[in-house]
Amino acid sequence: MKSRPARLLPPGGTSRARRVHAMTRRQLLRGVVAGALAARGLASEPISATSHAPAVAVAPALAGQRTLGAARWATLRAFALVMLPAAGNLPGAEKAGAIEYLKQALAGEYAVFLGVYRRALDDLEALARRQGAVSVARSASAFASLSADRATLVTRQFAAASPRDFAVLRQHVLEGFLADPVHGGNRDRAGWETVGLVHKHKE
Amino acid sequence: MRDLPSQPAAPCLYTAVVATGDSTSVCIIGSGAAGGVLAWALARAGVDVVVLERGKPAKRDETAEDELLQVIRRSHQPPVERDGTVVVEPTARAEGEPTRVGQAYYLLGGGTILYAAASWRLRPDDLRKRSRYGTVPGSELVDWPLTYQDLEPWYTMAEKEIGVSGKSGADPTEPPRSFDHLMAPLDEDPFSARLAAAARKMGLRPFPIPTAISSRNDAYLGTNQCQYCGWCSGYTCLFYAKNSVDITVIPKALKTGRARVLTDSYATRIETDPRGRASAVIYRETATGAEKRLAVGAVCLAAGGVQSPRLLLMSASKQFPDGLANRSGLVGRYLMFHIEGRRTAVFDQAFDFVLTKKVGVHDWYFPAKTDAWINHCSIQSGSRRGPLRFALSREGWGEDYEAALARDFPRTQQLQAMVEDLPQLANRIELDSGRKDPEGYPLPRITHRYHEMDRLALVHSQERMGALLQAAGGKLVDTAEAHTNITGAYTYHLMGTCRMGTDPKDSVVDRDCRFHDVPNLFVADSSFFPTSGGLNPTLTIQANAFRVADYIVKHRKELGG
Repeated sequence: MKSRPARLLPPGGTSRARRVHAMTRRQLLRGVVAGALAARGLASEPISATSHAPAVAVAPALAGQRTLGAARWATLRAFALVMLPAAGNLPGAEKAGAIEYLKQALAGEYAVFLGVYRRALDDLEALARRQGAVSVARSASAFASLSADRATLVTRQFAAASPRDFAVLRQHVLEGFLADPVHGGNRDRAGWETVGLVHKHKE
Repeated sequence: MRDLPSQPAAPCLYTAVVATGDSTSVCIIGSGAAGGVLAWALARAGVDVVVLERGKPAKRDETAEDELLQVIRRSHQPPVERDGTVVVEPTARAEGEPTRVGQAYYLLGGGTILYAAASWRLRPDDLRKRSRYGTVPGSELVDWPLTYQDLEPWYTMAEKEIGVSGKSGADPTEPPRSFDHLMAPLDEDPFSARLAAAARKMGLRPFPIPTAISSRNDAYLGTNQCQYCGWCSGYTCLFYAKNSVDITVIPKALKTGRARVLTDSYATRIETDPRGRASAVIYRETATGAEKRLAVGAVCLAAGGVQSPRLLLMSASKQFPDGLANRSGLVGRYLMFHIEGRRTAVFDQAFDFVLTKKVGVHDWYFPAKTDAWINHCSIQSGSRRGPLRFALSREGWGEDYEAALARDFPRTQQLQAMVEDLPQLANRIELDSGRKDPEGYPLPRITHRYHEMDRLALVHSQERMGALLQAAGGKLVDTAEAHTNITGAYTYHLMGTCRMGTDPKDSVVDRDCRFHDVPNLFVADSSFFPTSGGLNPTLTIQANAFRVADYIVKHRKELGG
């Protein structure tokens, strides 16, 4: 395989490219994306979210209740680890920053999905309790207390019963694994490293 | 007689247009491949122009190489809930949900900001389908009223002004050219080298795809040398190496002092005077909601194959009850996409991530005499998916899924086919009587079904691509039938909806892209294409825009400019 010679950017290109990175993409995104996406009622095409995002009552109904609560977060964390468990060289959702991504996304651009999350996580929880995790306190997550095998079984049931909600949650976990770290996930580019992606200008 | 259902009359929606007293010689609607070139070609000839662009300047730097923003959230396009298009097959029983099919990019520079930048000259036979293949039942094949020789000098001009990298003479179907490519082709990457070697072993003649990506710094173009980051198709270029019109020609147009570009300006109506000439463009300032009136000497549509005819249909009046310049009833008809075929294979080797069109195979571009189709088909490399899209396209979850991502993503490669879509009268865009955008203007509605030959040609291309990938050592992970379903087969190439021809009964614009019915109204986007060829259309749009601009300059007095 022929190795490519190192390339030199021209003066204009160098300064422009460097300036972009020096500005920190997060600064730029904060204004640009948050405003634009919130105004647009964001939906991501791969999950055909048209039936999701607009159906969720957006800002007014959510004012004052913009968090999921500790039990639901525990369920969501456990769900993310069912999607992407840590094993061997595989970092799993938590180490790769997917949970942090979800936190940031749900506090910002994806606040429109909070209704979906509440419904989905409550469904998961109900299924978990039906699977025998009834002794867990109401204030805690029964789903998070399940063994890996049982959590997998319950997740299968959930995916079959609520395929659209499942698709939303699954997609967002994968986003937290593989999207640009500027969005809060993919910690230390762990997702990209897992799939062998060398992002030449983001190292 | 053709069966032409009447278009729903467009309501007159504007009530409080601001009479600004503003005027220009030529108003260009849209700032993409066509609009950018028109602005530059007219302004440098001393013609005053105003470009109305619905979108904003691209947030190039912030979004470059960001798959989540560009491909998943599509931050450069309006959301589907706001501006989606309903697509129906003529025989469909139920309508689907609105989709992005038919949407243009609302950006200064239009699709050239994000395109893969493949920059082809159409082949002489692309322009004379009727003469070459005769009649085809179910398709209204025609010859273009132009030959390749007519277009050749304009292709040369476009290649110089936009900046095309390539290797002349390498493509076995390349037509004669008076000028070599401006720049050498981009370097091969390991996958394209492997593919090319396998193709040569099969007796084929692979070649570097001509692209509007700079293989060297170019001060005149204002572009930098490609840094081979791999994030080309579908992404803004961080390094200003993709020669989009907002870098190459629009800045030069602005420098003349003759051109103004108004972004966030949504053209909603073209007015005519009592003589039936375009006299003003009404546009809406997105930021303020104010509707403004721009008096014009001439108008050039460059908003794309869906939005240009939509604007004409929205401009219906007493003089033009079926839509402006639509006495033929053909505005919006003959809508053509390219059919995008894809084959996927997994290899024993991990490859760098490259979303750049590098290697083409055209040994099967023209059909054999024994083939049951007449479509022209290009096969191209460089259409991989980013890691997130790749992950989302695969079913499953859990440890095995995660391990499969890790194993397969760097080893997976795709080929893409660009298959010609034969023109059909019934394939059309019209105004959706039931759906309006938030400003109250009717959204477009697309009716489209592929011709049987389109499907045959697509499956054939799928098989050929499969053979190529296998010859290169790949293990196919899809079938030839994949992607032949209607929803998976569209591209962003939107062509044919203001058909060019000599007879006003059978076409919408003349050979100079001037509307038969309105003498100071032109179209320069791919709406004018009478047939679609099997190649990405951008360079042809740009070459023709230089030609149209030349016509306008030469006839500026009679046009009122």
